[in-house]
Amino acid sequence: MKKTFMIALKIGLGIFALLMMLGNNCITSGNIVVVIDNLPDLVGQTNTTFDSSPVDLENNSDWKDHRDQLNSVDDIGFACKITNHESSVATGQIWISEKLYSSPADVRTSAVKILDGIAIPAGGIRSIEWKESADFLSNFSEAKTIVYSASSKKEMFYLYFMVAETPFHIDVKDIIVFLSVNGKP
Amino acid sequence: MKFRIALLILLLSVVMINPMAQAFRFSVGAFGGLNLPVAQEDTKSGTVMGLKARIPVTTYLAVEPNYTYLKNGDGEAKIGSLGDITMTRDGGKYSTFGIDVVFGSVSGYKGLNAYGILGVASAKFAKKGLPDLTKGSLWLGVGFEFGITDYLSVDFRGKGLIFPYKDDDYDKGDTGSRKNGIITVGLNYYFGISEE
Repeated sequence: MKKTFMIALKIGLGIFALLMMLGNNCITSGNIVVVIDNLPDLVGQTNTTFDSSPVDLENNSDWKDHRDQLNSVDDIGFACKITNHESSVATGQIWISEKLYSSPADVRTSAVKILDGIAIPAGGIRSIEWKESADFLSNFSEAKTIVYSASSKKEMFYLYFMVAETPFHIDVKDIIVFLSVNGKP
Repeated sequence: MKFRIALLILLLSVVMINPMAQAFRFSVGAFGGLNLPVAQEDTKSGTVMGLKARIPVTTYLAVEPNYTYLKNGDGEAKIGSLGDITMTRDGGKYSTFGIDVVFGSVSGYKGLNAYGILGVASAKFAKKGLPDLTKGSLWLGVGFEFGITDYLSVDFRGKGLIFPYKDDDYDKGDTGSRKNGIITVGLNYYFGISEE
């Protein structure tokens, strides 16, 4: 029994040492959901109107409470209501960038496409909720870097709502961004 | 790398113990129960199930290779700007393969037994839309086992999973973790020599 206790003690101490190597932060960290709502509605029309949605994390109290003790952005999600004013089905996309771009061409060249393949019926409305947005999520690794680098510098990034086809004419309402971040809860 | 070192130490500890100290006897078992994420706003409680084998190496020490599957419940968030409606998100799931060291009363004979559990595992965390994360993880906990006969037992366990990870894309970040507690009930069947 004594021998067993000593072996268990050594293994326990080994695991404790491993935890200490990983750092105190490993034990005390948790995941926080940051909900960014109250973003302005957008209109997008080929060669006529093209709005971006600036997301300023400085304005979000949850983000401000945790930003100094963040380890990672673990998830990005969206919710929105997109209206397609064209007479053909539109494939909705969401792009993200650190810098502001003012035309669809610049966005396609320099931003990162984070959501793609949202089919919006001709002359119809498509609502996307947080859970469903994961079905269309792509390029997460690049996108989180944009959120992160923004957080370490000016805490701002830009979102663009576009359509794969041209011409396009959409408006986007009830835009919400969800971030799951790991840090001190 | 750290995980591999821990695994090596664990395996060496087991190999160094004289395997003849205990008449050869082993068990296989299945378990299931409740999965409780700790300090994770993006998940809710879910379920856990798994398989394990126990190989006693002394009267008071055993190793347990195991597979555990944990499913987190969907995370929820209330949206104030839309009249407090609730939206959800897939909470993710873990698949872990590991080896636990179990110390205490591990013979599994008829009657009540209690033991501590320390283990290492390779765990994969998968969440819809995101790249899978596979990391070395730690298990620790306690268990109580009631031997109905010398061959059949029921166990009740409380264990904690620590799943550490670091975002290599962000040099400012430290190593964080996800942690889950599980409470399980298991059924085990022993092969080998009876106490009687």
